[in-house]
Amino acid sequence: MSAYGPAAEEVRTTALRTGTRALDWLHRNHVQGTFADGATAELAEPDSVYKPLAELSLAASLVMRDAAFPAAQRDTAGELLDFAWDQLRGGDLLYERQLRFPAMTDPLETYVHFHRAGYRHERLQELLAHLASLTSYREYEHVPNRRMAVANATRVVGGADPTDWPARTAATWLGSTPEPWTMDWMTAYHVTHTVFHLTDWGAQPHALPPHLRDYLATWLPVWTDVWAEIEEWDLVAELVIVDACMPQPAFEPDAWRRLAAAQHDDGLLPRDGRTGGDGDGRRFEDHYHTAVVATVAASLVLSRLGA
Amino acid sequence: MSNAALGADYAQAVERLAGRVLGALRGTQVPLPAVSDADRPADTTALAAVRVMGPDLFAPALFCRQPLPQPDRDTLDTALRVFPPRPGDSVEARWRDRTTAALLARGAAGADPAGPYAGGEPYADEDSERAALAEAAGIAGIVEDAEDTELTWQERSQRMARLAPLALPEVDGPYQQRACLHVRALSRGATRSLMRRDHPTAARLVRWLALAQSRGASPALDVPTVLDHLRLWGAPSARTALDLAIARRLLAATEGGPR
Repeated sequence: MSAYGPAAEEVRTTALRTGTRALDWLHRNHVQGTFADGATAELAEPDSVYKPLAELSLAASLVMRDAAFPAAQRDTAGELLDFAWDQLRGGDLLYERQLRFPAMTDPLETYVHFHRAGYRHERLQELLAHLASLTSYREYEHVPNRRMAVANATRVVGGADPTDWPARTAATWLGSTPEPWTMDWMTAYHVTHTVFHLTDWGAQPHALPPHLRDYLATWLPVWTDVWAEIEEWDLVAELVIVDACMPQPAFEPDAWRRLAAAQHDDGLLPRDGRTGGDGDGRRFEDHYHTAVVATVAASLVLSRLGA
Repeated sequence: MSNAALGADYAQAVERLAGRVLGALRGTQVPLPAVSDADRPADTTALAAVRVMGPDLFAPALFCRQPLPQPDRDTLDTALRVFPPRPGDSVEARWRDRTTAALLARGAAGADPAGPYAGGEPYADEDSERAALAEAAGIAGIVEDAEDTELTWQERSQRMARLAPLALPEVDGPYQQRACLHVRALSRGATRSLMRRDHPTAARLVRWLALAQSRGASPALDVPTVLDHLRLWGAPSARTALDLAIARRLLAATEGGPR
């Protein structure tokens, strides 16, 4: 038993089961996220295949980094990364896209997951190092938490990171510790991503400044409870990740119980309580993101609990 | 009359009474006007409303440091006789009736309009207080509620919302002390209620937070801002408006640190 007590033991068991089933579901269905022949760097619809591939790679790379799942799941994650890297033509597609659109940051934000898992594309890396040296690249007018995504990807890939992290953090909604009851669905995603990038997905929990730790420790249980009540499973899983990114996670079992109860027998975790039934509501593109965040949540929780 | 009609009648009686208490609280009239339906002493629906509002009827008197008007004292006495506390009552109902009885007994004690709890040690003589309680309301053998230290923030908020009529100046006891002790739990509960647009519950919890703040505790929310938000968004019933008005008065009052 860990130092966290019996509640954390329940969380460990539930996270392992739920996360394993989510990862296996991703593995069984990942071929649905395949580029049509002849995909080029322009990517007329970047959200159709490209973005899911990036998020699939994120989950798999964190499973590899945290090494908290059993070996079988780490092998599964490795297969998913190989698949996604192959879809991106060994990184060439990212390189071509970055050449074609120097102002776009998504090639960096995608490449970082592969880099984290040991994949390399030297020419792309050279481009990214140059771009990271440009003030312009750092200051494109993304929303504040997206700027943090770029900064975090830059530091993981190994480029010079002149980011003023306290200033970047202060520019986000979370950075101002606003009235917690004004939180809405979209703002909640902004908060989760601020924490993800500030802590590099839980690798640096102490990067969270003390006043944000206190704020999140107070209000995270409320937000999780409110969105669990209305069955926003995707957001609940993201909030569980935020907890696991904290220096002292709460490891509340209730959110995991509810996520586990919502998961279908085949491992599909519906994004919310309104979808995921038989028929049209079971499409990969509708629910892959929830499987991704559930896998990440499980990987971080198992890692923090000491698997 | 159907149950639904009875329920609607009762709800109207509560609203009517809450509106009168609110009027007295906002007014500057001294002596205070009576708020109960003194002209309908046999109306059990009105008496039920009086019992449920209970301690709230004392709010104008406590804030203005005036005696409770005699017609209201008489009506409260009648309400507690017609609806006496029973062993099966909820914890919340027991404490509400107990507080009503204590406030009635306080007024009966004599010269000081704020009664034996005003200033100094509120429970300096618990035995005589209990005797007064038993005499005033016929309460015998009140069972203390179980130790509640294990409550989750949701459970604590739910219970305290039901006990909001106990959040009054110059009234002390275990729940007033728990409000000060558990401001984070109650702040969470208020936030949850605001996000769910359950404004009546939010108002009740903010009333407790205002009491806690007035006694030196530090809520995790900015209470005046929440009060403003509820005033503008809450579309409150008279009862919720009363909760908000009492909260505002509690914040304005200076009670001199935690008790």
